[in-house]
Amino acid sequence: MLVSLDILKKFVDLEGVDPKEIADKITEHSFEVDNCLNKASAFSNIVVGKISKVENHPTADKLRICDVVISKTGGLLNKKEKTVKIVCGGTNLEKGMFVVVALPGSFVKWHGEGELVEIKETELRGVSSYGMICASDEIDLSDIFPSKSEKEIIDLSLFKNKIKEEIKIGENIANLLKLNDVSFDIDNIAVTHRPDLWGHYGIARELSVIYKKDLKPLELDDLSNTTHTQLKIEILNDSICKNYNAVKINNIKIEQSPEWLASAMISTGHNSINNIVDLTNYIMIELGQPLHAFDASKISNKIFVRDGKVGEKIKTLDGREVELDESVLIISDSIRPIGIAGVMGGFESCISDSTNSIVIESANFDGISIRKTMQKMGIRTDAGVRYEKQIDPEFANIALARFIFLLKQICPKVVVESVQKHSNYNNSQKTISISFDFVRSRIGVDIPNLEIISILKKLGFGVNEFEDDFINVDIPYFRNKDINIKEDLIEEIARIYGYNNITPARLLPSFDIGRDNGLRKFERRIKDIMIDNGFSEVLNYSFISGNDQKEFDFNDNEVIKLLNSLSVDQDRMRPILAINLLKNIKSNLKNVDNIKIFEIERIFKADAVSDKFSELPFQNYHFSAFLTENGNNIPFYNLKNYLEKIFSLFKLDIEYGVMDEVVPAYCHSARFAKIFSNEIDVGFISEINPMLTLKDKIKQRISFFEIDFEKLYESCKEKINYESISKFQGSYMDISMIINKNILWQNIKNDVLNISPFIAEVELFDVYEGENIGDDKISLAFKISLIDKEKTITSTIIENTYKNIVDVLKNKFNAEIRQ
Amino acid sequence: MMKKLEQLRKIATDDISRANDSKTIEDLEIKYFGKKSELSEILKSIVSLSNDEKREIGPAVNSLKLELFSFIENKKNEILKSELEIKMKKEYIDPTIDLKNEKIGHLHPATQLRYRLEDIFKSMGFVIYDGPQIETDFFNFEALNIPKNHPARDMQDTFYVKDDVVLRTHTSNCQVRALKELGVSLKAVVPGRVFRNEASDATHEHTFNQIECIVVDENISIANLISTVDGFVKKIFGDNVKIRLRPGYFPFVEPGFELDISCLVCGGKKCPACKHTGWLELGGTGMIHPNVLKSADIDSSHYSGFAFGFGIDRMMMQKYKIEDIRWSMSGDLRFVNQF
Ligand SMILES: [Zn+2]
Repeated sequence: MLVSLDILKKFVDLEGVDPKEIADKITEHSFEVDNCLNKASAFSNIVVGKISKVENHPTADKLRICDVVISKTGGLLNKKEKTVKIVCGGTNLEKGMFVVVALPGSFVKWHGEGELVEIKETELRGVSSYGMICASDEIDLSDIFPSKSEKEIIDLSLFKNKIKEEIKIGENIANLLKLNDVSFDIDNIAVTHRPDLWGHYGIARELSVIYKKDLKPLELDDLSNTTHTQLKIEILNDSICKNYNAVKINNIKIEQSPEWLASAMISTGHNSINNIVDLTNYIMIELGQPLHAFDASKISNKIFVRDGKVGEKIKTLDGREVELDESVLIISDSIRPIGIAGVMGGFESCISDSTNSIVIESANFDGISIRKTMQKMGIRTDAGVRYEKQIDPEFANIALARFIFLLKQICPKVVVESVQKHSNYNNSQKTISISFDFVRSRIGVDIPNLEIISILKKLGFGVNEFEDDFINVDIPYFRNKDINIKEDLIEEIARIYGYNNITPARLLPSFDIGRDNGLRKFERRIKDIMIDNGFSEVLNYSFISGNDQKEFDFNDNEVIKLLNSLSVDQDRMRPILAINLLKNIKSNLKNVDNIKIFEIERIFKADAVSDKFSELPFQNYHFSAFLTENGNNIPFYNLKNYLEKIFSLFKLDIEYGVMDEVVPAYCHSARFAKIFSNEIDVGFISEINPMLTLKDKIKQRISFFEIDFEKLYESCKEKINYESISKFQGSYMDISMIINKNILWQNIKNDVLNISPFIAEVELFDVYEGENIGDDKISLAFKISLIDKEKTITSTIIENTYKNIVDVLKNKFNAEIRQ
Repeated sequence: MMKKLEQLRKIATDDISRANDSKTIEDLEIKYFGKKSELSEILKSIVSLSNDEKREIGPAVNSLKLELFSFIENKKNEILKSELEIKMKKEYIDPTIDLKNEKIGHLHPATQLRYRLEDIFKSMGFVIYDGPQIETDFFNFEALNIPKNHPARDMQDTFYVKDDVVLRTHTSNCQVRALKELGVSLKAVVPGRVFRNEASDATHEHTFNQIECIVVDENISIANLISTVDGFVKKIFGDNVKIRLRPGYFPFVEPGFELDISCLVCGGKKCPACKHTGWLELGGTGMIHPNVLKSADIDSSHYSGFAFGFGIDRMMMQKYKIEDIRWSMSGDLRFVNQF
């Protein structure tokens, strides 16, 4: 949205104030101004020139050398011309053409993009060039001078209709186009909650408060001098159409707009069309209230506001055929739809050059309904957007009176018939009570009572009934939508007082110093261990694709699908982290062959879980790590070793489940173990099923684990049982044996530990598999530590223990002991 | 006899002085101190001497033995030292050779920043709170004073799982959760992942990290908000960085502010990085709307508070001058391993 300083100045005295300062003040006290567009200064050294000669460039096919007259003074006899040479790549250069010349020292947008660049006298392929002949987007004038291509320079003679005066060589472009206004660029989002700021008058009110100046009242027609009318209105849905005014006006003469009106259109980014259309648009930008003008000769004498019907159609102003239904509120005459209420008028009833009587509609429609209609039609119009912000219905009355006042100035001969009205809205006075103390305590500053009252009054609020520190604040119609509670008034007072004038006040110190979040602390420690062990942390999207789901063999009832996704590649939620981590492995293998990565984030499953406040899909944090190394055929063991460092640091009581486990399809069926921590199933460690990487031609084995991080955390009690350290010497023994491969080391170890109270530790130090011991055999060597807390361990105990261990190994596990 | 001793001293001293390698000195040690050395022969012969001779010769032999012993020890040390010196010179290595068998891993920069923010807030007495990423419409919108059909829902393009279940669009979803769970007085921060249904480009991602800060207590004022935000900003960006509040609209705060910090590149003197304004937008903040407190069953006539939230990823981009935010979640180690 563009706001014109000239229009603002009609209502508040801002003479001599730097426009940039105005923009800063609005940003500080009211809403963000993105940009301050000062055309006059932007066009300094950009002038009208006339091409007197065009030659080919000696060495560049696409460039021409032009002689351009850039100034002309004196009369016929003593005329003085200044001609310069400019190299130009324009496709439409011709002798005699009036063009826009950016002279050295001016600023342009190179190819219409990026930051402004200063023009300097330069050489282009060996030919010197004094400035630049401009295309419209290079000087931000594509609104006024639309062009067919980027290479097309502005031919001023083609736009005679937009230039009221004679084109004079050497004249500054801003003067030529009367672009001496300053426009403020405002993002619509910045004022989305303030319908009153969608019109200049509302912004002028803000400025009058900020600069402590008077706000000039709006001049309105009193609507008393009207003639009898045949026009009738019937509002069939007044829950959506809350206010409707229609008036027929005769003796209209369609003409070009007067200069002030045309200039107001250009400054605010509109095209100037004709006096009537421009004036309806002007009322919209002045007050924020959309108006619509029908050609009275093209509609019947009765106007209905009603729901559309299935089967009805309308051709709208933009030329589209729109099919209607009962969800769309329309304006119709006795015969056919003539407009989509609040969004766009119909094509057939629009104003033309031959129009001599009009019907002006000034109405209010419910914002939510208008919003739905726009969504349905896939368009957003200036009018629709303003209704969507829920402009107050009262504006419709004021806007009509303002329109007629201004119309009588530009078409003094008009005859206004009497206004037809229908309304259904609550216009009772809204009042909020607030105490001065409340204001001061919420802002945290000692603002005097009088200043509070003065700020509110300047903003248009009624303030009365002083009583025990309380005031009653009457809300004016134009703030009805956004001022509802005491806190809204706090904002009004504080922002005008100035947020940056508030002295910071420290919070009272709290002695409840940042309680730890256990899971977060656990996460940090785990991540530190992973980093120390050479794993890098990756973060992946929470999304996967249908193909991913299929590849990893998850059922539709396990995986959560989005109702609205950005793409089919990311249309459902990941049920495990491993899916995206495997993608990371695949892509990184193009650059390196040894990879260790991990991720800790939430996964999502369709099963509903209840917490204290809601029932939501399962979304625990998971912990997954991947390891692959060139030449390492069983990276499983390396990865497991790292995992066990974590288990031992947190004193977790871990068991692996191997025998009766169902192995997921994406895992290597013979390299898989479930992990139980304190008997809770927390996840598994495995190797990616090599089938999954077959088509990527990846031969390296990829080990990984996927652990429910929250369950792991819950199982982790970090219980330390301190035992006093024995003063006596212990002893060690090594045992080496060959057993069947399918016997789990975990079971052997547990059994050995139970043989004697003197066995303190059993630790594997060598594993060997090879043809020489048989395919189904494995050789294991382990160290056993013995300790007696009461005395130095005796050789009898050592010998007996050894004998018992060997017995168990032989009898229970069928081991062949090697000496 | 004494003459013989004198002779021995002279020969031995000469021999030892001449030795210059460890082999020779070890041989000399055997020659002069071994069982068959002249000195042990003399010692053995003392037994057969008269008492007078013993009294004279005995101490002289002992003194010679000590003298020679200390002499040869010194010489031996000298030789060992010089030999070691030579040996070490041959043992030179190239200290610049890299054998990176065991590499260190790298923590993602967004995590590093998150840790830093969490630590700062913890030092200021805040609790770290966490909540679901798939969230009910109630906690993400309704409870935050954003009813259905509110235009603010347009500002946050939302991914839907069901009609009333969404991917949270902001960490503000935890405001009411934290208030309900932890009660007042509350000082909490919520870091975490949020989602917006909008196409990614170099500066926008549909998935990013935010941190939300919530304070609710008796008599909390805008002045308290300014002090807390200012303290936090100075801790993270440095004492020279200034803050600016200006009006901004967020439905769950009233009043609402946009929070700017003085440009980190030019320090406020205006440059392209701050679009010639001298300020950078950090995030949104404001006094918690009474309707939000009401959603958490907290009496807004008695309690008030403030909240502020901002994107961790944007800070990460500014801090490391990352040209394209999409690297962040690419899983590419060429990115992660730089941090
Ligand atoms: Zn800057």
